[in-house]
Amino acid sequence: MIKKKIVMLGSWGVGKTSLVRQFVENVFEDKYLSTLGVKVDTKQVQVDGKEIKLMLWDIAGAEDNFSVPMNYLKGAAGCLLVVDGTRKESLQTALELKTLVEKEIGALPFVVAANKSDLQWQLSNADLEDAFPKPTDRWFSTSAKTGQNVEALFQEMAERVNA
Amino acid sequence: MGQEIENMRIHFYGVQGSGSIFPSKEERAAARLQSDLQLLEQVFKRLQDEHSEDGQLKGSIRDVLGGEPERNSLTKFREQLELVEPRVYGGWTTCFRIETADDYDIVIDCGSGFRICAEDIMQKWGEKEERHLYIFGSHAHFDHTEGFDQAAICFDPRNHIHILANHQYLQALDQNLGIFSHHIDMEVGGIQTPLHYELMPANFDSTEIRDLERYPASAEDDPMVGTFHHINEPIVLGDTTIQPFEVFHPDPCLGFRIEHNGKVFVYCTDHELRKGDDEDHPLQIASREAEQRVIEHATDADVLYRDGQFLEIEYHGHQGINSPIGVSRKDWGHSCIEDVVAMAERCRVKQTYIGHHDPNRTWSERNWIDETLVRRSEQSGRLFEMAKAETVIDL
Ligand SMILES: Nc1nc2c(ncn2[C@@H]2O[C@H](COP(=O)(O)OP(=O)(O)OP(=O)(O)O)[C@@H](O)[C@H]2O)c(=O)[nH]1
Ligand SMILES: [Mg+2]
Ligand SMILES: [Zn+2]
Ligand SMILES: [Zn+2]
Repeated sequence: MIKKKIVMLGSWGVGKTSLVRQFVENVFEDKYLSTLGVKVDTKQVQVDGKEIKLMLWDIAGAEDNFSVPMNYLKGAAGCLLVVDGTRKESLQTALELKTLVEKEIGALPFVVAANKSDLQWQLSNADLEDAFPKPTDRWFSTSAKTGQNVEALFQEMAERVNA
Repeated sequence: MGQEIENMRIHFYGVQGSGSIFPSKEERAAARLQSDLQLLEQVFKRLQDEHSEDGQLKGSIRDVLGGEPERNSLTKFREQLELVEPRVYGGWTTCFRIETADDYDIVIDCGSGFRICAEDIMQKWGEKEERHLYIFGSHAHFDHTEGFDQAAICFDPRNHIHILANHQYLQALDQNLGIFSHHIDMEVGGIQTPLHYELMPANFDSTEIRDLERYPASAEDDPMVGTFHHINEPIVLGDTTIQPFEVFHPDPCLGFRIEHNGKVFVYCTDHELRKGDDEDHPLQIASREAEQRVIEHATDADVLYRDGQFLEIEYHGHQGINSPIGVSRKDWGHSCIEDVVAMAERCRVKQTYIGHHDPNRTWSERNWIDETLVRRSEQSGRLFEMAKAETVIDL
């Protein structure tokens, strides 16, 4: 079976772990426990009738002064950028990460999750449209809590890396 | 230093695993950038807060600095800013020191950090008459013994150096230096080090810590060993009790639980919580049993120092350490940071310092991990930190 490494990137606390858990195990945890280093989960999805195994690298978030070490991205087929709609600065961090990835390892197919859609947002849709313009970029308004768009997000990622 | 010791004071002299490191050019540049940015941020904040009106700067440089921009005024100006030192990682290999309120000097391990550690002890001793140092050794590996003969403390005939460790540790010191047996085999003399007991006038004696129930002492007449001490019995030095326990490492290795007036420091370097697939594998069983001992000794401890050289992903070889090539670290004898944090949380340890750092981990990656640990500390109400040399803890 085809395996694809997907890296989850974003600022700390934006919901990377929660999105993976919702997608893989259908659970959501209110309690915040920061990821140390990286945790790898897998899930199989279908694209065009083919089974693809997604290796989801849930990497600890970028810190204010210390970004994610780029050697974690080796062999990645795609990148899932996560933004926290309730924290404006997390959009900036996501954009910085995207630039860093492009500089260090070249352009990767990426999809954006604008997460915590069940809460009151600081970010507007216009902010996101500006940052990730159509038609090339694709962002989803997601909630790891309610599950909104979580399947769609990972499905889109799978299609991107399979293209 | 100088100020009164209430119970015990723990000094970290060396927390590097495997080898000493000196920050690379890139790492120095990264650290410098960090402090420069911080400085600039503070300077501009000050200009904004105190020297501007309606968004316009006003006044002269003299007003801002209180003088011409020269060393004195600049230093004074800098002192008024709230600057945080960038974290310092790296340095020497394993060496810890404990000073107690009843004036005992205890050292654990003689990695390259021992040279400076011993210097500090000598300085504190000055001309005093009672000059006893107790050294506890974890295991014979080079990064825990390499600093021994570089320390001035071994060259002063007034000094008494008592070394308490397992057989392998005592042997590692004795076979090259002959400090206990006053004998060196022809084939090894001078090869590893030019020094030997005749050039090292301090007084050395040895205590072998061993499981005397399993391996009784009488059977052997070992010229290297002064006395034997049963591993399950605590060693008592004044008001301090030191309980050794066996951990899991390719070379037999001891951890120590050090207690003084109800305060507890647990030292556990070079221990592997093995992550094999086969739970019945003999090494897997041995590791699990050793982990159980660590848990028993560390439960409710005030301070724990524990080896966390790898992240899980590195241990399994899915990812290299600052390298694109992963190598499995199973049976290398070291634990994973994630396991140390989970174990310390379960054991309700108040402060956990994760050390025996891999020499290949970069400064910014250590910072990245440390920032996560800051957050984990907030989340769990217990302190977690990447161990840093020159840390001093008063317990
Ligand atoms: N209401 C709401 N809370 C969320 C959502 N996603 C995550 N959270 C909460 O946000 C906090 C952080 O979530 P995590 O998934 O741990 O964030 P992370 O990005 O993995 O964080 P790091 O591992 O520290 O980088 C937790 O308390 C989650 O419960 C969401 O969609 N809605
Ligand atoms: Mg996480
Ligand atoms: Zn070691
Ligand atoms: Zn070792």
